[in-house]
Amino acid sequence: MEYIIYIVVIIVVVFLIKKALFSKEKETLIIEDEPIENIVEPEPVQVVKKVKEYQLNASAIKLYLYPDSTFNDYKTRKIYNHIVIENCWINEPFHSSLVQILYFIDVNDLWIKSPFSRDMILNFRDAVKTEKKNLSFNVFDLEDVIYSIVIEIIKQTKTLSDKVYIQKILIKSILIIISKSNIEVKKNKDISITIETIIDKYFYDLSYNLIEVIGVLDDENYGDILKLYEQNIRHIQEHPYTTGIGNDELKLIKSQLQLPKKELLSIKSTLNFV
Amino acid sequence: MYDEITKETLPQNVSLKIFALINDKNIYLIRAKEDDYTLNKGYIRSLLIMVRNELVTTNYADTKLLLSEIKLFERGNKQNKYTTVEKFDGDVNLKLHLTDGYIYISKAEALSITDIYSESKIGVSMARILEHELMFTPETLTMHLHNSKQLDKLGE
Repeated sequence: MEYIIYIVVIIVVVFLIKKALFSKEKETLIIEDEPIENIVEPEPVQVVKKVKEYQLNASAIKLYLYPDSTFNDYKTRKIYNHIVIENCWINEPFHSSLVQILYFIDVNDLWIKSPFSRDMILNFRDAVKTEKKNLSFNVFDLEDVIYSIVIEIIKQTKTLSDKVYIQKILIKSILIIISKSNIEVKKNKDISITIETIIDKYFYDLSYNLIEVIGVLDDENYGDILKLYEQNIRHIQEHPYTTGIGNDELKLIKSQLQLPKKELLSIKSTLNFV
Repeated sequence: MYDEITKETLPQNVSLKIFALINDKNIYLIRAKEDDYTLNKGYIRSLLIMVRNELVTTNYADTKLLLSEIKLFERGNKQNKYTTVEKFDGDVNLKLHLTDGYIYISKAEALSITDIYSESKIGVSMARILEHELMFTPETLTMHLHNSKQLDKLGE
């Protein structure tokens, strides 16, 4: 009788264990496998830093520049815009020494006698009928010559990155061209005026700044600048001009002028006059 | 500035022209003629003489004086203003003084100058040259010379 109880207990236990085991397998069979298309991989997590954004107002940028009222003539204003504003070369002492030279040219009317003209002598009679003689020839405007040469130099030195070198050549060439004009009455035409005499006579206040920009006054680029000058002078417009013979009128040249001061200006307002 | 000088032009219907009197010695006659298209008439307004690179006369009275000296030729005397009579190798010549130098005018050249001068008055009337002569100032005359390309170098 006891054996039967043991056997019954064992059978019941085995039956329970089987049930427990096989029930899990039945549950797994019921679940269907998902197709591969619906499997979604989790996205990689990006670490983003929050940055504050500022808007740049280009019209609100202001620089210390010389206003348009410094120059009376539109041609000197053109030169100033082309050199300083388009390249943004505001470094001292270049900026103010260049403007003082341009202001000097602006106040004094200077010309260069054209090598492609001949002199005509005119015999005139006064209102009182006394005889007078006049000499007439063709003439270039100094600002036209300077503008064309400045454009050429900036074109040719675009590849160079040395700003100081280009500025030195620009001021040197402007002074060389001034020396060819009627700034002094030349009695002997063979003797030409040098840059040093011009700086001593007309830019004496500036001489310390100018020599800082130009450096040692040597003949390094003199030949190249003269070549440019002779090539470009053929394309400039000529104007007629008369003077009197016999009266040696010394032209009064105004020098040692006071410049107006700089003002805070935005660049767009000055570029309108280019 | 030199391009802002007022481009003073001649009055209406007036034109300046340059005629050659003697080619070898570069003697030219400048004439200003006014055209009246309603009446189909031409009036002379000024006559000037140019020798090489100098305008010897700039008004009508002086040209008349110079031409009469050329007309008289050897019958002129020492009080000629522009010329002197010179004898050279049996020939008589007129010496015309300029600021830079001088020029010799022969008899045949003098005859042609006077002939062309008188022919320039054919077909136009001289009624307006005395009262309405075109007066120039040095600036206006250089402007006209520049426009007719007299200020350019020769041969370029």
